[in-house]
Amino acid sequence: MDSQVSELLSAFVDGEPLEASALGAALAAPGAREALIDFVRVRAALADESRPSDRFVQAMRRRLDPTRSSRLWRPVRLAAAAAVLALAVLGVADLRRRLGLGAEPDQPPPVSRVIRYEPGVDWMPIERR
Amino acid sequence: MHCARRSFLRQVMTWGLVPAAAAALAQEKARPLESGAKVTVSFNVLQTAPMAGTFPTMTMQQDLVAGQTFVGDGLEGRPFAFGVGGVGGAGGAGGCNSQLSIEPPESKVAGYPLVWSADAKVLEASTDRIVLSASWRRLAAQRDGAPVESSSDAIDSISLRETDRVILDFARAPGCLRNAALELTARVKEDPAFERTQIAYDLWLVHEAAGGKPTSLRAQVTASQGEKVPFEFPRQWLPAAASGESGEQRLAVTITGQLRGRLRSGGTLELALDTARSLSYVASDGSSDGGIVESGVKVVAVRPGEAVRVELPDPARGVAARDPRAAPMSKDLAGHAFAVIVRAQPLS
Repeated sequence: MDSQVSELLSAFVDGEPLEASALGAALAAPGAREALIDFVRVRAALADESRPSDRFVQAMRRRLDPTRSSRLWRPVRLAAAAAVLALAVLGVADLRRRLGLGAEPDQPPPVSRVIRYEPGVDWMPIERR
Repeated sequence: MHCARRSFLRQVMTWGLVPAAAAALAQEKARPLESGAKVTVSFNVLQTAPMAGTFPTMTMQQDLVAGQTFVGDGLEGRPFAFGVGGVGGAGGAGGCNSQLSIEPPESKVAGYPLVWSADAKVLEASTDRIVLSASWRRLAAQRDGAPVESSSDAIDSISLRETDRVILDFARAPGCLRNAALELTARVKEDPAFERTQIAYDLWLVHEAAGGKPTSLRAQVTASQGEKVPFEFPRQWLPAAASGESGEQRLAVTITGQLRGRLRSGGTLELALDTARSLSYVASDGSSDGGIVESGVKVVAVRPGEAVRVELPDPARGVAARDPRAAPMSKDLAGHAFAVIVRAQPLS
């Protein structure tokens, strides 16, 4: 049997789009009937083997369930995010302090007393040198 | 009834508020050193040789507490004398020599063309302000060798900073010297218990403008016990519009100073804050009118970590007001207040 006929019949069994005239010519070829039956059998066999067992499917569904996964890891993820955020804030604050950029340390503290220089008493003009 | 109330108020004012105000003012005056704290008083002789510079050659010093005298208490009544400019005296054959000795000055005139004796008393002592009385005599020998007092002076009160030097007398060509001078200095003697203490100072320059948010600049310095340390804030610029000065000019305000502090045995710190303010109009090309510089010293006792605010006065007040530049500067400074906040903390 011509290989082109075999490919056409195999594609037909796989459900691929074909030209009707080409399919008709292929089915008319000698041995086409037997070949078509063989392809159907192989296809059926492959389909049975590729399907996983119900038990396997259930196990995988449980494992891959997105809602179940997020429920398990959510507290851990939140804790990790909080820790990273806290470290980032501390790092920025420390950097500002080290660079002297923080506004807080440069603000004068509350004073306990106010005293004044008195002109002519303890405040005098001095000559420029 | 009305009169009685007024009388009562007057009494309250007289016996209550006035003493309270006086006490508050007195609190900010120079605080005396702790009982037993000493002041090192020095009499120094400076000499200029004919072919050399001027150098201190002799020093007589005593550690005194307030109320003590140099000779009476420090030297237990024995006078001292500086013999200056002797030729061929005890110092060397034919050379030029001077000598300090604890003996009456009259006994030295035979060997020296100039003899000084002096005495002093500590009247008050606080950090950066030491008040002394002082007296000195200059003796020389007459033709017959008898001592004669050629000059003398007695000063009731001299107020000295710890680095101040006072020339008491100056003599031209005494013997083999070009000239010589008698000098007085005084400084607070450090308490050995705190000699290694370091003090950290935080200073803020606060600028308050009318209708604006106060701004502050910070300076930090560290110094040893009793050490004077300078500080300086970045120059502040104000528009020179109110005074009618040229539009290209700005008023530069520069605040600098020096700070000296001591930790006391009671745990308090005595601070001497010496602040200077320079005001000058500066043109866009950088030229300046020279400006007015004023300064003052405040001595305060503080607790560690306590912050005290010291306000700077209006330039139109006081002695600087006589300067013609003071009036326009006062106009441009109207609505602006500058103050220094200081905080000290001993370091362990």
